[in-house]
Amino acid sequence: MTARPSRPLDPERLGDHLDRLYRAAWGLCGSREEAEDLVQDTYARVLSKPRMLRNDDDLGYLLRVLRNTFVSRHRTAMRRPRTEPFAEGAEPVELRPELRPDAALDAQDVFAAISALPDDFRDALVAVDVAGLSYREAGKLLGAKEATITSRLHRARRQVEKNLSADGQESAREGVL
Amino acid sequence: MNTEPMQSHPLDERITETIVSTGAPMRLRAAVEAERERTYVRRLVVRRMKISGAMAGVAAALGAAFALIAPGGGSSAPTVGDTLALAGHGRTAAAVASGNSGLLAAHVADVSFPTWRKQGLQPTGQRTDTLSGKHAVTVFYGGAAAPIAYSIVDGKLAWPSGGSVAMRSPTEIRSLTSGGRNVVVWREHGLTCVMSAPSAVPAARLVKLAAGVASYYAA
Repeated sequence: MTARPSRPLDPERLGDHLDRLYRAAWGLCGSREEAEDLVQDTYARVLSKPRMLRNDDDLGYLLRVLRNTFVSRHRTAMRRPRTEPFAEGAEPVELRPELRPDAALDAQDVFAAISALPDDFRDALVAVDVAGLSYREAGKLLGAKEATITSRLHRARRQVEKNLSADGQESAREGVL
Repeated sequence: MNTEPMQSHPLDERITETIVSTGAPMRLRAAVEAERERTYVRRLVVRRMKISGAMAGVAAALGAAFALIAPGGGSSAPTVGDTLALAGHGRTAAAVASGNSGLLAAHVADVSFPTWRKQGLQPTGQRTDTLSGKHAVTVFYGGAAAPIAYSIVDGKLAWPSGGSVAMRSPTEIRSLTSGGRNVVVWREHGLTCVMSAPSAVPAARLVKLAAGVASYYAA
């Protein structure tokens, strides 16, 4: 009777983490629409069967699934032929009623800057600053030491701030170092 | 060599504010809620089907176990048909014992049934039967590795033929398959314990649960 403690993931509580997951997804994808799809895929995957957790870290688990889903989708997308978006006549982006247009624009810039970071830096910043994990939790999620997370986070923050500053706009999609 | 200080300064306040003020759109919220509802209904249907299967399955397991009663049972030994008929009986909720949250109130002699909550299981009901004068209690468990039926029979049944010895210490646990179900059998304080589950539940999982019970009573 001394087996490793585990408990079922409560589907009723999954909605509590939706905002943070959505922000994390946006930070990974850089696009609101892709973020919505990613979050939906994540929830569908998690809900597809009962899940057992070995701790109380529901958010950490959900973020892990989110990231795995993102990586999986990214790999699949890379195998497909790439197409260019329509320059004209494209469907307009739906403005969220709960967001002011100016704030939405800011958010788009911020998440685009985050998603443009190199993967390791982006993941660290998404885990800590976007999803709200501690350094320790982020290290566990990303399989890295706390010191490594600290280092990546430091560089990621500087780069995002630089890219969002007036003279850093054009380098938003360039590398960090 | 990079000599930059590694302490991480906080992210610019304006950027942080933009991030935390971003919420999931209502459309996404509704989609996730709808998915959750669909899953709930789907699981409910599957659970009901599994419970029906478990009732028949444990009856089959009990039947297999009783068929192995040592000589002496004579013509009064129950048949598989007798035990299958038990599947139609009702069952009651399994109550947790007041003094020990790890045990249920259900028991046979000195051996109580575990809650197995830490193992991710949940007792969903119990039933009591008398087969050829032998008292038998069965508790059904649901959860991630469900459904599992655990029966304790008052008396020593002969070891089943076939199967294999899955564990020898602290007590001998035997593993076999019967009627498409994985079954483990062991003895505890002169009683016979029979646990069974659909083949989708690995036999190793049942052995591990049985070993936990055996260790608990061996301590």
